[in-house]
Formats: sequence, structure tokens, C-alpha cells
Amino acid sequence: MSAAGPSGGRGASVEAARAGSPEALAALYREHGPALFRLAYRLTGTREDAEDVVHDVFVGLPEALGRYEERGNLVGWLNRVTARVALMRLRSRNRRGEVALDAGGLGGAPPQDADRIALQSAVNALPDPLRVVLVLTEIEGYSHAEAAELLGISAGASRVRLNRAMRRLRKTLEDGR
Amino acid sequence: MTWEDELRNLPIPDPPHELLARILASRAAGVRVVLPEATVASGRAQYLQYAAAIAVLVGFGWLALSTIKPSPVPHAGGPPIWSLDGMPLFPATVLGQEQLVRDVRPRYPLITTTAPSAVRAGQWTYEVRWITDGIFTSSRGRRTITRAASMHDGKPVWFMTESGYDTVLVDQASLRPLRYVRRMRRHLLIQEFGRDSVVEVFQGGDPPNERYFHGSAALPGLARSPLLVAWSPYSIDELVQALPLTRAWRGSVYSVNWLVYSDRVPVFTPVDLRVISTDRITVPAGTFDCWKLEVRDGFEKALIWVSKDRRWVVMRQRIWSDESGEWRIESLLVAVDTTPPAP
Repeated sequence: MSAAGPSGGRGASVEAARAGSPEALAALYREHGPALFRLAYRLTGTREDAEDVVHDVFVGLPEALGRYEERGNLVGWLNRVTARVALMRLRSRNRRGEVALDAGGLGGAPPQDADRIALQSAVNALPDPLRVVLVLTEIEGYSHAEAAELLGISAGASRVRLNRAMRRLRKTLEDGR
Repeated sequence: MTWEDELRNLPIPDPPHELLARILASRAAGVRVVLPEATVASGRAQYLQYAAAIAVLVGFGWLALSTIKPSPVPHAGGPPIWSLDGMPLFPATVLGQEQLVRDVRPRYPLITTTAPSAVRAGQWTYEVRWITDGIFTSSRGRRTITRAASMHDGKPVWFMTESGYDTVLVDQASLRPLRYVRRMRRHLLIQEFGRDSVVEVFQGGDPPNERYFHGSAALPGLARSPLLVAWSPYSIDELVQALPLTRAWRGSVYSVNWLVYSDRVPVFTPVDLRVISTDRITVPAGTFDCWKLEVRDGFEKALIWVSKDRRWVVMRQRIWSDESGEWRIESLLVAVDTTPPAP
């Protein structure tokens, strides 16, 4: 996972955001919001859910920053918080059996070449438990131990799910040829 | 290019420009979200945590076997499985299936702008049906709610009842409850609402009053915001008649639960309402152009369709699913009588 240590300026804006400064919160959003939105989108698969996840993360951030230790990696910490909120949302959505309006494709994304569209469709067609592991480990760069900790499963189960996800992806793509 | 590269390069839409403004507006409106912990426990620390947890569980198990007596809180006729605007619900927190969530905050600004004079008296009858895996499986019968104008302590109030199960008196001016009474086979629950607090008496046992609960709590939110009675079916129906619904409308309102079950269900839960689309639907009572609203009660969610011109709740729907199947519970408007019923 990409990591960036806290700089002096960032430390100041974290401190100001923790104190409730809207300007500091906006600065943190401008710096990290787009990347967190991408993570939330990959995990939830819908623009609406990703928006809600990022909204909730930043609305809760000033209070949550009280638990953030400055010596830690802010980007990694934000990623883990966002992943947890996205996973909570995903579980809640699954419990309700909700089907996202744009679940059939990466709504809003520009159309790409045929292979890319096929890959998008295949990823979206994966069951959530498999897709989430795929996103966390193969795209976001989490280790299996980190992904397992986020998902509440063992590292071995994470490896098994990734293996199944890759097999399904291959089969879906090969069948589509 | 490897698979991983291709996966990483899949296009992702950008976040909407107004998202930051929404975040700042939510903060300014007092919305707060409690985020989950993001610490990663080390392997050794995790083993220690597991060992400690097992030790604590064993200790509690021993204590439970040796000391715990049957609960004095009566369960027969206890909290109904009707919640959130009359949708039957398996309250997971009540059944102990999920961790009690106490820190849920309103997602949207609290509702303060309403048109109380738009609320009308009448009787609305709904047919409730249960659908499993897309196949109609059973009817849960019909339920009728009645809303009549009345007076209470010199104030104009709405008297509301649902098939005689419970009664609610709501202040016509503020749309806040004044008194809620629910009669059960062997129990009686009464909540009296003041400007900033609720007092509850739960009478139970045989003969009555042998066992009882008495409690009070400070009300959350703003004194000028409406308030819902959580266990009163269709409590939300009255509120939506007074809401200025538009395409992008959203707002939150607190609902008040039973204090007697506060160890299992939060006493106050924000209910978040959001117009998500418009829809034309046909139910036994006719065809209606509706606002489709998402109603979120804590982490549970339902949909309601509100007729644009009459402001009646025409249909409500809640869906659950797991690996064994999908269940949909629907409540459809069957008949309406707008002749003001006698108080």
C-alpha cells in the first residue's frame, strides 16, 4: 500500500481539523478525498454508495482524528477507516438484498475498449466477498493479513477468496471470448 | 500489461464537485458520524486479545450459571415486531444478533420546516403481504390507521390509532407526540412527553402493577423539530403529509423507543428520509404519482411511496436477504376514507 508520512503542514491541518476547522477539513478532503472515493467505489461498486461512504468518513473525521496518532501513516489510516465504512455499508446492503442502480457497470465511467469493458463487467459480477478481497489485495495493495483483519476473516481465507476470484474472472473472460 | 495493472487502470468516476459542500453543510448542521476503529492488531496482540476474550467468556459463563436468575422483565407481549412506519421487522438488536448501535447520528439536517396545517384526518387501510424469493407466500392481513382531530389539555391534537393496538396524541402545531399508550395482553406502556423529556411507565405482571418499570430520558434534537414514536406503526405517515417534499429533499427526525428495553434497543434513533426518485405505482386503492423516499432507521432501510398530491403513504417496502433467500414485505394502500372520523 502506498504510504506517505505526515509532513509538518499536514500535521497542522490534522490538528486544525481535529479542532473542528471547516477549512482544514476541506484541505484534507482536497488532498485525500478523490483517492478515498476511488477506494470506496471499488469496494461498493456504485457511485451513490461511494459518495455516502466518503461523506460519512469526512463528516466523522474531526472526532475520529482524536484516535489517530500523529506518528502513524495518515494515508494508510484514512484508507483503513474508509474501507471499514465501505464494508459496513456493503454488509448492510447485502443484508437488505438491495441491488444498486448502477451495479451493472461502472456507472459514469467513460466507455473503454472491449477488453476493459469485459474486465469491468467480470469484476462487477463477482460476489461481494470475492470482489472485496480482489480489490483490497490486487488493486489497493493490502497484504492478506491486512485484508483479513479488515474483513474479519483469516489470512488463509483471504488467499482462498482471492484464488476463487481470479479463477472466476478468468472463466468469465474466457467464456466471453 | 498484467492483470493487476489492468485492474488498477479500470476507470473510476470522479467524486461529484458538490460532495465537499455537502460534507461541510452536514458538519455545520450538526451531523456527526462515529467512524469505526482503524487500528490493525499485531499477530501477538491478537492472540493475547483472543486469550483474554476466552478467559472473560469462561468467567462470565461460570457467573451466569451460578448466579443469574430469570429476567424480571416480562417478555410476553413485549416489544412488537412492528417498527419503522408499520413495517414488520425482526429487530436484530432486540434478538441480540447484532451489537447494539448507540452512536448513530442523523445523516441529514434535522427537520424544522413543516406545514402542520397540511395534515388531514382520515382512515387508511393497508394490506400487508410477505413475498419470499419473488413468490407471494402469505398475507399478513389488513391494518387500518385512524387519525382524528381532538383536544388534550386545551391543545388541538391528532388522535391516532392503528387497529386499536395503540394510541398516540400528537400536538397539531409542532407534530411532536404528547402521549403514547400501548396496550398488550398483560402489559400497559404509557409514555408522556414534555417539551424536553419523556417519562415512561411500563405496567406488567398478573395482577397488573405487580412488576413495573418507570423511567425518563431527555429528548434529543431541537425542541422545534417533529418527533416520531418508534413503535407506533404508521407514525411517519402523519409527518410526511407535512413535509415540503421536492426532488432533492432530505431530512432527519428522531424517533423515541421504549425506555424499558433501552438495554437492547437505543431509546432514540435518528430516522433519515431522502427523496430518491418519482414513481407512478398502482395499488388496490388506485394509481398514484409518488415521491419515492428512502427511510433509514439506524442501519435498516425501507422505501415508501408518498402520493404527490394527496400526501398519503401509498406503499412501503422492506427487503432482506441472505444466502438462503430473499424476503420482501410490502404494505399496500387498499382503501382511504377521508371523512373525518369521530374523536
